[in-house]
Amino acid sequence: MSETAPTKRLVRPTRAFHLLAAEAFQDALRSRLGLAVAGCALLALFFVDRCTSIQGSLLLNGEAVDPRAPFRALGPILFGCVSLFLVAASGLVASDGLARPVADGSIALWLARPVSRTVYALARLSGTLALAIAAGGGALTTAAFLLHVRHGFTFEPALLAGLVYAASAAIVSALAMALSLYVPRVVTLFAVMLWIQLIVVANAAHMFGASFGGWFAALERWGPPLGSALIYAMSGWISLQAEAQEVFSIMLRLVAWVGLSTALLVLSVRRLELR
Amino acid sequence: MIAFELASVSKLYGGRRALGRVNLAVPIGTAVGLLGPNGAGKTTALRLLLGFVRPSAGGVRVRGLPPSNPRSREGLGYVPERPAFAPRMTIRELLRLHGGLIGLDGDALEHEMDVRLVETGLRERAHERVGGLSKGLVQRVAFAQALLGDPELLLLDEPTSGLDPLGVRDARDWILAARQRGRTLLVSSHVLTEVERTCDHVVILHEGRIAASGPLGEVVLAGESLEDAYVRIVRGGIGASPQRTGVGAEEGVA
Repeated sequence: MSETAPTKRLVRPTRAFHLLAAEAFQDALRSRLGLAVAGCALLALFFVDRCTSIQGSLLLNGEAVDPRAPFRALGPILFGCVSLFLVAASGLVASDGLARPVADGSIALWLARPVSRTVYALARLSGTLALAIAAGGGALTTAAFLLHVRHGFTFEPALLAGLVYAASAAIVSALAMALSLYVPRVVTLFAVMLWIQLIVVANAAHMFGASFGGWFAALERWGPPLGSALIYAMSGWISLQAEAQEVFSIMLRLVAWVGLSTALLVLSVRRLELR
Repeated sequence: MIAFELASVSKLYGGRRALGRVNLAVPIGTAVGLLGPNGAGKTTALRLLLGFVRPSAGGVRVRGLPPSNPRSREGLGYVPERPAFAPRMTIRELLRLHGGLIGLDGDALEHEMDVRLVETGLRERAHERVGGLSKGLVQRVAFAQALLGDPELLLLDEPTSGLDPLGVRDARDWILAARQRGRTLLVSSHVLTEVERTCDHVVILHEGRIAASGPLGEVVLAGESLEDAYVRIVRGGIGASPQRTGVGAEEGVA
């Protein structure tokens, strides 16, 4: 038996956070869902590559037309769809990131250490989000590069859309993690997919002038503006005329939802009983 | 000074009572065996002390701090009833992370890991993934992480569960060594002979309440084994044995 002195050292929360976030990242990376996210990113890239490599000749009323011309409008739609697909993929990883250690009981030994539940929750979120954003960010960067090289799209809207993607992934991941503590993972996944689609449809319908009421309007008005923020971020590509105040309020709401969803996750973990 | 304290603690799971108005105070430096039939509330008591569950009523303190305060778990080692680790981590990765979380780093951490790996007989398997280990080896890993840094307080929930006879003897040695170093132990177990060998006090829980508690020599009557005393107390229910203040009591903590 060793003669080491008893350990009663103060561990800074930042150190505990770094250690646990790195563990969460590696855990996600080694999991099957980590591979699935990497697969999603590759699939998105393949999709972008195929769609941006239009070649050949096109005759319209007997006159030759540049076949890439329609892509001026389709490019932002492609980039937006890929972004949202990757946001959903981040929810896929997150749905497992906290539910698994809770289900298999491994959470108990981490929380038996001098680690607060807040630090643990934030570390799990950061670790899994880092993996999702690394995969998604890589795919979006390559997509922006292909759009630039093949169709002359500028980089600035892609950068803004990338930031919106990161914020959206954080919101969806935090909410998926919180939800996964209460319902089975498969239900979490379907709920996340459905919720993203509803919000994006509501946002897009509102921006194009549709009027609706009830919970759908409330979702559009108060929910996380995943669709609106993305469209505004790409306004440089689609010549969208938008008031600066409107854009600012949408982006502010997006950031507020990052905080709100993270707070909801932390609260859920703090209230969790490990029986 | 009191290491662990449950003050008039009740815990309900839904409508089911796991613990009812339990008072338990474990002074620093004592080795307490927590006994009782299945469902008596032993694991719930440990989970309350670790902050895994909140009491429905009453107060919980670890060295004077509520379990919601992470500092209450500084210098505390825990072996759960069914240890579960991130299965893709190797034993060494796992110990390194746990060591980091108790404030060890650099050479001190590497040295401490080596000490615990040798002590628990895991040195040759340190690079194996935890997910591929047998139940007995997982239990050894649980001990290795719990003993990192030689904690002042040890909470052990069925510590010999899944161990072969050699493992049981090793676990007993680790527990006795910790006791000799003056560490505070709270050991929940069904293996009465092990408790008899490793603890100096016992608390017997029955149906969520303390049926008997005190120094081993007082709970166990002359001519009895701990098993005899246990059967007598559990079959007789609360009040079958005098309750002592100090280590644990149904009402009133020393």
